[in-house]
Amino acid sequence: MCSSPQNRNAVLASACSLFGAARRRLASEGGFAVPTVLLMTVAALGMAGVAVTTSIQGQSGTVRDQGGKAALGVAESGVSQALLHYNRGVAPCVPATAGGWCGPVTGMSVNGGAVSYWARTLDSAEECGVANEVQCVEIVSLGTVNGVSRRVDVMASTLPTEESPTLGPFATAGVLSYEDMTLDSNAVIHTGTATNGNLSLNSNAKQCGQASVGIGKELKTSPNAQYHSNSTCTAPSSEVLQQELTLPLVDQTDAATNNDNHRLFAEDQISGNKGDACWNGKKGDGKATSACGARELRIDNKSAVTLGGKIYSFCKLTLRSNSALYIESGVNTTIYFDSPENCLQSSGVYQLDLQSNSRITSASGDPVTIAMLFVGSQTRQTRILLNSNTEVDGPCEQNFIIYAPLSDVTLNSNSKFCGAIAGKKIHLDSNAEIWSAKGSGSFNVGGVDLPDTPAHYTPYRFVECSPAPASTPNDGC
Amino acid sequence: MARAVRRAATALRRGEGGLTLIELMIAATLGLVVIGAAMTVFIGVIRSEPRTTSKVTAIQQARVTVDRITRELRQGLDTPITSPSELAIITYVKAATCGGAGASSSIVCRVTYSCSAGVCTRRVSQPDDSVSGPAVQVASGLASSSVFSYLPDEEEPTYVGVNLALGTGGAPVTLGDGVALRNSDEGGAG
Repeated sequence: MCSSPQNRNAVLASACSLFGAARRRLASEGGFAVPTVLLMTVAALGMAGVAVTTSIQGQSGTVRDQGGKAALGVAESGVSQALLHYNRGVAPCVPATAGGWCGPVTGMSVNGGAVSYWARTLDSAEECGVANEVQCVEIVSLGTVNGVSRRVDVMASTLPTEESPTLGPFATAGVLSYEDMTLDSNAVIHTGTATNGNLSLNSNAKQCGQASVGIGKELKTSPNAQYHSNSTCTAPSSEVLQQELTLPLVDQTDAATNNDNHRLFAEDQISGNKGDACWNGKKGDGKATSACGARELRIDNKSAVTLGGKIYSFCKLTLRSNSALYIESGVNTTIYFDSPENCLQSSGVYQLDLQSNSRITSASGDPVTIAMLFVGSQTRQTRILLNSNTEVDGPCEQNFIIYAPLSDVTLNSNSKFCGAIAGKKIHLDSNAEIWSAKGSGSFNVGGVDLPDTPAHYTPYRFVECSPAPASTPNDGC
Repeated sequence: MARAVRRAATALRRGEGGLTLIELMIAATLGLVVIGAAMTVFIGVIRSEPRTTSKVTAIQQARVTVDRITRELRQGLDTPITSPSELAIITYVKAATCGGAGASSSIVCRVTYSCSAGVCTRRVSQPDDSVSGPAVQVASGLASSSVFSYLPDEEEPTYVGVNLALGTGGAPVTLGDGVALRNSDEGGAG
């Protein structure tokens, strides 16, 4: 319209002039428009900035609180990890000097935080701060989460002696296995059992006595198998405990060198054909043989040997073909089976091998106590086999113990064991039976030094420390 | 030459097109609106600043107090006094003597928190309450004196909740926390 020459009258010319000026002004972005908008933008940003800053400041305390709580939780997890070591009977670290601090030990990371802890054993009751004969430990743990640190100091003690009588590993059950326990084909256990793994009852097998399985594990029962809460198999049950089982390792001290092995075959004589028993590379008649190696006792063909000593150290014990090992009446005998490393045995060795109607029992029929303690190995498999109608303590009036926390135990083909038995894995098959002289329930053994279960430490003093680590771990606590 | 200069001056004058009255009025109006809004906000902030600072300080103080109470509860051995407005804890305190100056190591003392009339005080004494330090104000501006709650009950609590409600006017700001007593016989350590 404005560009048309015929429309250029006075009124239109004026309007077109204004319109053109405005359009040019807009196109040129001149004047106050841009500064005004900029000013508004800056003002708006300023106000928003103030609001954001105030909000951040307000929340900083909350963030710090959350960090503090998370770090405290991580620090407490370090204490728990250290106590777990102590309660398994193994210190988490070794101090340079007795009674001194050890660490820092880097703990397992929890919730993305880092944890390290120091520990020491407190010797005297005065230092311990708790009366009675107890053992005490002190643990200082430092937890850090997102740069926020918290440090805690915890003292823990075992229960006072009068409240915590020394109970052997068989205090609550007669058959223990560190890993799975399996019963097949009519096998029966007539006492309480405890395992860290699953307990499987297959093919008419029976567990008669309270059963306990590992945390998160279960009792697996096939249709024909039975579980009873009593040793006489008359009280069907489905109640199974779940708890951690600790089997302390065997400490044979100086038994390998200080023992009664010299009695074989002098005082501990052979009945039957002397050529059918061999010990330490020699037969009973004095002839050298390769049938048995160093610290190996082998008895064959209806022969028998009677042990009258208290401590023996064997590498291997083999009984075959109606042979027997008798324990002299009134003697508490302990046979240590040394580690396969010390015995130069390869992995998979049978350190106790009973086959074909052989048996270990009392010489006179009177009750005796015998413990067979197997040192075993963490790296080489050791095995125990009772097979083909073998018996350990047939009349079942005795305290017979097989304690082998690192060895796999198998009872097979009508074998029978009476007493308490502990192994890494336990497998019963083909009519094998285990009885306990006291039935289910506690099985305390007199006259035999079984490894004590580790003392259980319970925290009794919890103190928060200043977060910064000090020269001595418990400074500032 | 003179003509050329005159032409350039004329061109320059045309380039300074300047402002029309309408532009000036719009810009001034917008400017006033913006400045007015900013001034309103600014004046509001200035007026509320003392109140805000006071509230922030109270919250900060309460936060520290809650942190301290929970720490002392966490390492508490016993709670001889338990009520919604008063709590006495036998606990570890970093001090050379109960009620005395601070120290790097901890000793067992009795710490009593009393809350009434909008303030909470903290007093440290011997475990039998025989020798006491001064009562120190640790929180103020409380909307309620009901600060402590107990589980499973007041008689033998194993867990103590702490709630500080701040602010006498409007909706109060509540800082809450709670801990289990690690060293108590009932609660169990660790």
